[in-house]
Amino acid sequence: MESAMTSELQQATQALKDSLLASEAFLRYTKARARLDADFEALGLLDRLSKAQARVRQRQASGSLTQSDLDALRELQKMAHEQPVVMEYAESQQEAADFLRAINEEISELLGIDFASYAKHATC
Amino acid sequence: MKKTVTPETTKRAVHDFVLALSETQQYKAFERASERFKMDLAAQKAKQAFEQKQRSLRLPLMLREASDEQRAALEVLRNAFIHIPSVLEYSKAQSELEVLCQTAGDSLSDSIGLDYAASCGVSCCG
Repeated sequence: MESAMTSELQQATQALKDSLLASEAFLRYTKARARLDADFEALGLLDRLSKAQARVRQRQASGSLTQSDLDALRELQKMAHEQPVVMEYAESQQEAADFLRAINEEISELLGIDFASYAKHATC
Repeated sequence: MKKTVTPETTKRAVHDFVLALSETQQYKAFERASERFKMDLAAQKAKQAFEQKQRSLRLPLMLREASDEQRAALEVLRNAFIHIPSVLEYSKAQSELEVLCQTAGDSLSDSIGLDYAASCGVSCCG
């Protein structure tokens, strides 16, 4: 929904997007994500890891967590750490997020509000 | 091979973005409303009274041990605060600025492939 933005703000947002995407952090992240998307095995591993994490959280909350659940999660985490495509994706994503936080700090300092807090959608 | 931007280019893009956002009617209205709210002593007093009561009842409320009288007293202070004209104006201006920032944030998120707010450590629950 671009209609809420003035044309100047639309242009400035586009320029900021272009600048972010052309930064070292995001070039690395974009490349790592493309490699991950093309790697069926790595995607499958991430999917199994995500499901195992959700299962542990759920069983912890219900008091039914077992050692076997934890062992299964640790095994998948170990496999993920040994998967170069997954690790490159995770590390580059962290770097891109760190870069965004620094950008947000600068925007927020100049605006006098925490821009990210104002930009979040409340979904809870 | 795509050319990377210099930190100066990014800095300039950030400054231009902030300038454009600060020139919007939503941001200007928010600035005016913030100033009026800050200078409204009655509103500041009402806010203080409400927040003080809220703090004192935080544990009973969390443990669902607050009495009906305690809840009613909190509600009275809350209503006294939120219906003050400068507070209403501030809330309205803040909501409208949030909508604008959400639009800009969504636009950024869609292009960069990361949720802008979540990446900056802001959860959906605040």
